[in-house]
Amino acid sequence: MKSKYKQRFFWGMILSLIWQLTAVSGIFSEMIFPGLDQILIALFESLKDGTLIKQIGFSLSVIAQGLFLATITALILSLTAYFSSYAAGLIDTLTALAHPLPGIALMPLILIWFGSGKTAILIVIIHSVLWPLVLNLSTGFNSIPDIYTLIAKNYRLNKLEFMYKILIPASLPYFISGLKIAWARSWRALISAEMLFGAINSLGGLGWYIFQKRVFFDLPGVFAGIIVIILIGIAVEDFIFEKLEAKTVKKWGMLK
Amino acid sequence: MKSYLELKNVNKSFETEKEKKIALKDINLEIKENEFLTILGPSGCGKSTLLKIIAGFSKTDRGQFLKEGEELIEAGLDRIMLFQDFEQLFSWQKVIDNVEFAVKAAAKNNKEKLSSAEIKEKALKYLEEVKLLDYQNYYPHQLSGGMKQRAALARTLAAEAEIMLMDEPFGSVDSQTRQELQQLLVQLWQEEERTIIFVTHDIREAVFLSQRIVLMKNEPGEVINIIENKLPYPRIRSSRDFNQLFEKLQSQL
Repeated sequence: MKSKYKQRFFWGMILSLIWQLTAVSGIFSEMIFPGLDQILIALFESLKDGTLIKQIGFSLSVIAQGLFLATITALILSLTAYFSSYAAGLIDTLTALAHPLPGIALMPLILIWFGSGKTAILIVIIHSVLWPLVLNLSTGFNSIPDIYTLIAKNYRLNKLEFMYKILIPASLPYFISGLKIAWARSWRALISAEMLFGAINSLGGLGWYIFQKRVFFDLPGVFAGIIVIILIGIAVEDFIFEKLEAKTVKKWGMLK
Repeated sequence: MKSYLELKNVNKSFETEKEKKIALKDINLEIKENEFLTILGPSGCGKSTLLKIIAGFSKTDRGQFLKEGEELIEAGLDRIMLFQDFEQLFSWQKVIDNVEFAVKAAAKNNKEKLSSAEIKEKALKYLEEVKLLDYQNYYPHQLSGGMKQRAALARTLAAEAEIMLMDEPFGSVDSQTRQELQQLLVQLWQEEERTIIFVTHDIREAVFLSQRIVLMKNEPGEVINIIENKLPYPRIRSSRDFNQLFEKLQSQL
């Protein structure tokens, strides 16, 4: 665990050094290959004047809303599929059709139907999150041990009790790994959607921030945005999900 | 006179791709209230299938399972099953919460309103009975196999069912622990007066535990004999009578 971060830090430093040497050497023009000093200055300035913070806030709030809506919908769909074989057929077909479709392919259509703006971005996020979650949840529900359904019968649990006392906790490892996939996919979808759909009242999120910097040929600004995107991605994957697993499935011995 | 529990001409078969296998053939059996009965037979003799029919997990092809003269088809909290599988405990709940699960389910079934303190008190009582009080805040994965089965036994007891169904519950623990658990079960049965139907393939286990032993054979699953076991409790595994009965059973199986 510790050594993972040590290693990352070590190699991160080496890579930064190579970067900086390349920039200083003047092989590439400063315009297209800024040094780390310039990138860091651009990062701190954007953080200081608040523009970057606002964009981060926008991106995170949109993705949180998208994840929340998609998770609720995925739960409803997978539970319906679990309890009704008719619905299972339909939901399976929908998932098979929609899952392989990249969100970005839908963007022209979404632009026409919903215009650009937050709704459009939300729809792209929900699309990228919903199907992997439905797949994982359904697999999780269908792989709970038979003994649990017998126990539910024996102790006369109704469907609702069975759902929250057994079905959902028993499939939590699948749920969390679904959420991880969902997060990764939605974070990528978000940035590309923001670039395409642009700003509403100058707020367009991190994707839009980078896009704008490119327009003004502000490459240190572009890299500053990229660094923020990387750092948030690492923070969520390594800290939030790791905490969540430590407090649930790892503590319960359901995940080694 | 109506008997407490009765299996009447129970037949059950399973179809596989190749053949139709008769799991149970014309099973007739009466069980008295508060009796400790074991069903003994080799694997594949249909003893677990029979228990599943009694539990209401499985339906008969022909024949009936009756309780006090009334046919029972559905599962219920009057007949609680203890399984062999360690996975029967909910891994996401502490031992105490696993036991409280049964207390709550039983209370709801009896339309009783219990406060959370009363629920806990009951759960603790059963954990004490199985000598697992010190482990109440452990998660199942932190327990040994024997302790898991104790916790599962506590949950089964906590449902306060009149009938306890046991499907080789001690089959996966080491022999030392198995003997301890058998002793504990006899003791609990003597204190609490419940009907126990216990399925096993272990002859010594059947001799140690029960008042009556139903012998079954496989292909097709049939009852071949029913033997009274009048050895006084607590039974001594090394005694002559114990071993005589063991040999008698072994010769018939």
